[in-house]
Amino acid sequence: MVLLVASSSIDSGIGCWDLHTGAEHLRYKSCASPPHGLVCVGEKFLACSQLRDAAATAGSVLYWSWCKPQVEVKSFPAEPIMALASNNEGTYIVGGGFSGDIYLWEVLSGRLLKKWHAHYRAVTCLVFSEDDSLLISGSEDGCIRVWSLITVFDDGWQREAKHLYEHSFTGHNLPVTDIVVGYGGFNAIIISSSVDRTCKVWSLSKGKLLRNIIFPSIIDAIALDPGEHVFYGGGRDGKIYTAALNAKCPSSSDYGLHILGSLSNQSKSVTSLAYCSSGNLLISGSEDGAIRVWDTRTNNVIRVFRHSKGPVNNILLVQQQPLPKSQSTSQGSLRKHRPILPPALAKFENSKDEDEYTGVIIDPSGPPKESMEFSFLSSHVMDNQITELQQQGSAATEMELERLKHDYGKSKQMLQHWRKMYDNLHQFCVNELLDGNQTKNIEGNST
Amino acid sequence: MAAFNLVADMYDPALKPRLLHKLLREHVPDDKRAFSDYSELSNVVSMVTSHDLLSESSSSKDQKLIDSWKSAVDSWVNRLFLLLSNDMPDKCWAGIILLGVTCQRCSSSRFLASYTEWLHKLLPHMQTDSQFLKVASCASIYDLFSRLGRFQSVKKDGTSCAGKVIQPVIKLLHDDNTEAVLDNAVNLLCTLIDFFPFTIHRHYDSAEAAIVSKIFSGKCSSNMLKKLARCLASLPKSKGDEDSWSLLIQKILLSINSQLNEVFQGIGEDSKGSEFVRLLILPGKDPPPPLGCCSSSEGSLDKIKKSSERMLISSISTLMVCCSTMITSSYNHQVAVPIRPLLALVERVLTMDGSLPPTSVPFMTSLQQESMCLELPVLHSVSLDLLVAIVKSLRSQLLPHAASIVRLTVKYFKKCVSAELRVKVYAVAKSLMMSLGVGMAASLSRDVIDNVLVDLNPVNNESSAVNPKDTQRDSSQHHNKRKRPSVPTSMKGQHERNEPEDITSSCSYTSVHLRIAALEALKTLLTSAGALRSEEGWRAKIEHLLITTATSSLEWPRASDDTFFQANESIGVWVDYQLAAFHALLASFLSAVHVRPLALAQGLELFRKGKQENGTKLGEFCAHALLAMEVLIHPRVLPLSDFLPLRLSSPEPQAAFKFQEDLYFNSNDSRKLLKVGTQSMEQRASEALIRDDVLDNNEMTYSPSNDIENEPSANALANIERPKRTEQTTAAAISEEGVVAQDDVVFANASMNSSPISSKSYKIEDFGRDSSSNLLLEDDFPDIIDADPDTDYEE
Repeated sequence: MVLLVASSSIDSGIGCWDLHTGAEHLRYKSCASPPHGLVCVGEKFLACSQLRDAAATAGSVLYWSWCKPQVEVKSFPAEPIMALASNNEGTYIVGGGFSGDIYLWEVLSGRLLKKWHAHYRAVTCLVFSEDDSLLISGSEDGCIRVWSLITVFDDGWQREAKHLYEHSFTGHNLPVTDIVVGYGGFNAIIISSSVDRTCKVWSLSKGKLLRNIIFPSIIDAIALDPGEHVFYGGGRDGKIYTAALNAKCPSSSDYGLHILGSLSNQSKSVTSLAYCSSGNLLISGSEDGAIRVWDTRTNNVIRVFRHSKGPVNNILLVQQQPLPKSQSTSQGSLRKHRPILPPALAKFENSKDEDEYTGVIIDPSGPPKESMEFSFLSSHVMDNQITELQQQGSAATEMELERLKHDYGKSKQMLQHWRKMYDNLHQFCVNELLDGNQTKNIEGNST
Repeated sequence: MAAFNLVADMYDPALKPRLLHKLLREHVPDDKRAFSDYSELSNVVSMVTSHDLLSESSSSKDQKLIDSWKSAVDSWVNRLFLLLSNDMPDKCWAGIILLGVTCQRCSSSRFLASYTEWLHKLLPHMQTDSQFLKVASCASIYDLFSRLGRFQSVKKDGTSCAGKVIQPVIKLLHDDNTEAVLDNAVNLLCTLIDFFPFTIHRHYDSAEAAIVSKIFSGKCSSNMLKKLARCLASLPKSKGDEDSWSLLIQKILLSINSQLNEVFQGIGEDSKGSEFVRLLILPGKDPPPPLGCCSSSEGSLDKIKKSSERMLISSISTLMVCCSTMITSSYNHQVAVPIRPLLALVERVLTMDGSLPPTSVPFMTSLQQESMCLELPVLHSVSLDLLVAIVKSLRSQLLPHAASIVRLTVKYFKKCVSAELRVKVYAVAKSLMMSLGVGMAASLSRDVIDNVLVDLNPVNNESSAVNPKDTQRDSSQHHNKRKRPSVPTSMKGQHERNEPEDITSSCSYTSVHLRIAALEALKTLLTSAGALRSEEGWRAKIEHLLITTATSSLEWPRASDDTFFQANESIGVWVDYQLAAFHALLASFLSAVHVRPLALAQGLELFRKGKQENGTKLGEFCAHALLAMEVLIHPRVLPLSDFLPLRLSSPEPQAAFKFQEDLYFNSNDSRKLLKVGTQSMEQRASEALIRDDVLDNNEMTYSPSNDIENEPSANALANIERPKRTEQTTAAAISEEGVVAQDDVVFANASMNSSPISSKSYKIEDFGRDSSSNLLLEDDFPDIIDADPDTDYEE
């Protein structure tokens, strides 16, 4: 089941639909998200940073579990958090602050593991690389930086390098609006869009600009075709442009170099895009509150979800196992085992010493690491014992001895029995003989 | 008449009760007949299992058959009871074993009806004097509980039954010293923990004490110790809460620590021991009672103090195995792994190389040092295993500690000489790279490559083209470049150690296992970070090395090859070696993104040669590798048909388009039409020729525009026809670019006339597919990575 999750910048909750059937699920309440502020943490729960009035000093990040519309956990980081991201496993949440700091929390303990100054202005988007080892951040100052998490955590990095980041791409003049990372480990490409009306394709391994594409409009959202033939850019003019990556493209087009065409529904500005590989669907969220599902093969809208009157600014696709609904309501035991959300995110970093005593919490809900396979033993043991018996091992000798003892006892009994019989017989014969003699003697005497 | 009561065939269910009777009559011992041939019993068991004689399940509804089978099994069970009560030990043994087999093979209804009775029959035999009967009854009871554990409905009854067993089992663990009895008792205990945790709950402490006393006794074999470790590790499952898990691991770690203090006494690193305790026990908290005791008053450690070095080492390594099992096996509750103490423990052991601190006065006699050094490799080996377990279980959560682990691994790698331990260090490096991805690979790459260059250096091979001195020179060169003086010295050291012995002795022959481990680590590195810019020029060296390795792996070691056979390598290992070499070679070719692989020609030759080894794994792999490399040779630039449903720009302004209003969006199964307003389409780019998968579909009409009447477009149309096998659901296809050209050349010819765009790139009329794609690639994408002929190689 693929869930489509969407949130808006005005407080109209988080909408949640089944992408393929169109059925609406729960609507999670009280959420006003900044762009790129909504994440699904390890497919276990939803987290969203909140837009608050600019005067507030603290930010807030809220958690919703799948089965309850109310906010379950509220955390208040030290400053308003703009962009939020989580790694695939759902072990870390990363938040980009208004001041340009990046905060890294451990989800299960809620500890703030690391906080570092990443950009000069607010962080607008955060993305993990495919294998979760790199973090890419984009900022309002137009800068894109690539961080290796190992280096970020390593306290000794200052000695070896002048800067913490792996790459710093400074090609955009105006705020970065979206970043996507492609496939391929260190050989991946990064595509960024900016208010300066360009999208730029960067090489992660070479650390340089590969392609610069100028669009007719500001691109606010990018989605990458999984085959990386093209990427889609959602423009403020309401069109979704298709731009070529690893594909033959015509030398001239209506929109400019490398731009193949556009999908358009005369909607308001496109604010977010997502690609669903099952069915090759492109999902776009728009300023007018509608979420459109496009078939990328035919470029037609095949479904429209209505979120609210206000603008949609985040779309997520979540693969989810269907919950056994009937059971969860009827059985109390299952409710007891319902995953409890982790504690709130800490506001400040702990001191080093305090950290040392808390271990790393590992979650039991991972894949079963040992198979629950039990083979039966007795026939195996029997074979072993038979070999031992045949080889006259020590235990076997013992048993043999036992058996012989038993036999010995039996024979002894038998012997006694025989002896007794013999004695009886002997007695009998002797008596007979004596009796015979006596009678003879008597007869002899008498004669 | 009964003599001719024939069955249909060997699968006839009517046969089964009769076979069972026959077995009872002729093969199963009874109380009268003497029991001479034990192997007969094994026959009986195999008959019973292969014909499924006890299952009492058949598809037939024949009541007579069901009854006869039931009575046959009844008499089988009765016979077993008779044997069990026999006072001849061998017959009793046969009864016990056969009852165990019955527990596993009989029908579930019979099992559920009579398991309590069976248990009562078996139980007394667990407490006899005979080892033989104890072993057999433990095994049979094990089978009984394993079967019982699968029925959710009888959990409660099962728990009460298991309660009767638990004390005798613990008593066996305490008293008995025979390996076989212990083995089976531990098995039984593990099953009880897994299936009936509540029964253990009350006896938790005594079970722990029994297991620990066995571990400390020093009388068990290494296999037995491993089993005990696993059992101890699963013990907290019986309570199933976070605290008992944490308490146990804390106790174990403290115990390991104090024993390490004992072993490393006099070396002058005692501070590490107390530091470790400080890490493990929160300030202001009492330390937990020692392992194996319920209260801290009893001192079980006194016993150990008297024990020998050898026994200390074996119990330390057992407890370490226990730690790794605890953190890797699943637990039904969130637990906090004490990561810092664990890492401190690993580090403490791995940094201990037996050398004495030069400054302090030695508190150790040479005798003590000798005996410690003798046992150190074992400790190192289990610590490396523990490290692998930590990496595997914590995965991404290890990130905050990753840097320190890298430093530890790298430091250890430089010192480690023993082949066996190096294999494990490679395993650590591999699991680190696999669970922490690119970032980890990047930080380990230098050291993995340095070490691989040393370990795979074919010094012994006549066919080698690499001169060890060459490698050495290169490595020292690049070390100078990166200003890390510590590495080259150790590298040189290793070379110098190797070189004088190269020709004569077999000591320098790196074992095949080590080579395999090195190749696998290299493969993992190349897979995750092969795209790293090779600033130090290792790429060419590695490629060359891999070619040489793969070439030499194809030559099987000759029977006269003393070094190979002296190292006790079986020929099967060589097959793994070949595979590892070819895997790494393929990874090297596929991961080269900055430069064209220089040795591609040689590599292809090798893969072709490998492919000829028909029927072997190597042959299969080489076939796959050749397929994978085909993309390297013919990079694909396929037309973007799927993304260009609309004509981009119209060259002829006079072309008028008729808009198609009805579009199929779901071609095959759904006939639903979606009306799409004209506004949904691009106004000027809509020559949408509707076609379904089948062109002659009657529902479908396409309206010819004036374009189509023209000759060239008609040609193009003819080429549109796609094979039906494609699962294209595309409803709208386009005349020119949109067509997936099944034949590039034909398509190019056909479409050239009508499309000025494509004609530019398809100028050459008659070129082959390969060259065309190559050419196109470079023409069109001067800057996209895959097509980048970037020559920043060793710049």
